[in-house]
This record gives sequence, C-alpha cells and structure tokens, in this order.
Amino acid sequence: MDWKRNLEELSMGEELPPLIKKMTQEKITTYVSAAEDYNPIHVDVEFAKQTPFGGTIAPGYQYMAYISELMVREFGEGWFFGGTLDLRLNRVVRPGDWLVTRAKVVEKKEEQGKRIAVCEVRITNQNGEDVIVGTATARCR
Amino acid sequence: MQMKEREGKEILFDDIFKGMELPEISYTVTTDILRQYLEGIDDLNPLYLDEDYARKSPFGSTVIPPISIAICITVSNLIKPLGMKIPPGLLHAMQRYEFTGVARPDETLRIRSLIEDKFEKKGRKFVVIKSEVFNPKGDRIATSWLTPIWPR
Repeated sequence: MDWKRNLEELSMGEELPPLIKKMTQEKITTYVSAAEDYNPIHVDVEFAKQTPFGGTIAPGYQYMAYISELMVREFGEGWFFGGTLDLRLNRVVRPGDWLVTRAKVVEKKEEQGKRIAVCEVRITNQNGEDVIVGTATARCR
Repeated sequence: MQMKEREGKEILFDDIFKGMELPEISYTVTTDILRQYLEGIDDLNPLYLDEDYARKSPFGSTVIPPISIAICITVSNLIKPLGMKIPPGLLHAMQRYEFTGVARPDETLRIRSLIEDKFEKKGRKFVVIKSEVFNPKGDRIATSWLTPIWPR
C-alpha cells in the first residue's frame, strides 16, 4: 500500500478503480448491531412494510463507508490526516441492491503548502441511479 | 434481534434551536464493535485489526477507519443524553466530515455537539448538527456535520 499518494501520479479526469458490493439484510443487521442504532426502518420488516419505502432500507452511514474505504485504499495517510467528505444521499438502498462506488479526480490543487486531490465521488445502484453523490478531498505529497 | 426500548418524550423540530448545545458524549469503538462494523461494511483492510501489518504502517499500530466515527455520531446517540427520543422516520440528507487525526481500537472518544442550523425547504425540516471528536490525547480527530430531515 502506498501510504501517501503523489499528486503528480494522478491525472485530471482519472477514474480510480471502483468498489462493487452487494447490500444484504444480514449486513444491515450486523451494521446496525455494531452501531446500536435500532431505527426500525432498517431491521423491522413488518414496521418497514407500513412505511412509504415498503421494506427495510440500509443506514446511509453503512454504504457511505464504501467511499471512505476507497479513499483509504487510494490515498492512505492523506485521507486520515486532512481528508474531507461532502455527501448528499439521493436514494435509499435496499437489501439485494448492487452498489458501485466510484471516485474521479476533478481537481489538483495546492493550498497553503498542502497538495490536495479533489475527487467527485458517487455510489450508483444496479439501475445506474445515483444513491450518493459528493466530493472527497485527500492530502497528497 | 432484540429491539431497544425507546425512552422519553419525542424531540420535535420546534424544540430544537440554533446554537443549542448537546451534552458531551463519550464512545469507545471496542475491538468487538470494530470487527462487527467492518463485517457490516465488508471492509477487509488489515490496517484495522492486524497488529503485525499495522505496525509496519505510518500509524505504528491498528487504527479505526476514519468514517467509523459515524457509529457514535448518530442523531439518536446525540439526543439520548437529553432523555428524549427522535420521532420515527428520520432521514439523512447531507453529511460533511473532516478528518484530522487517528484513533485506535478501544480508545474512548469524546464528542461535543451543537445545533449549528435549522431550516425548512420544500416542506421538509432540516437540522444541521456539528460534532467534534477528540481522542484521549485531546487531539481533534474529526469534525462532522449531519443534516437530517426531521420527521415532525
């Protein structure tokens, strides 16, 4: 693993290798149990059926973590120290959804001696719909 | 799974005001919680649980994933010390995180939060909650801004 990415190695418009994952009720239940955040919309099938969603949905925090995973993989230390993440959650994720997490380099800049890569990040579902869109930045050398 | 008893009166949008400080909370991402969290998000990076691997990294030992602070910075966790509960149906609209340091598994983190803003847009009620997270050394390791849509 490269612990800090060299900004020169990144090209404008470069697509970083995506992450592909399938959401399952089992993963939702495991996550919710770790977080101890028992909102019934995530785990109570009967309750969730009565809501406008018609079934359980995954916590936003759960799949938001996929973006952080991708940024750790690509930027290492530069994500832990100086990373930023701005996200908008557009769509819910249900058990059975396939999610593709992407990051595209859209800007390379230097601010107060810090070298920064700016990435457009997004998670799309199996229908090509945006689930999350946003911006992530990481420090580089 | 056993559902947790939801206690207290519901905190409504009208009960919340800009500048309102929420009680400081502390949270420990134990190794067991971390293991379960990583399983839930399907992240196999050895940096988090493999001491031998992490020792050779710039971090010197295992760390928790930066975004795992989201486990403790949930709206319900932040509201719980008020003795109130959030109405069912709360949704997350926007989030911002800034990462400025690391925390280790089993370290106790302190989280200070306040209501930075509240507003209504297109008939929806938004609340902006800013939280700062400190490790045991007192370093601020992260700041988050959660923007949930309040149900009522």
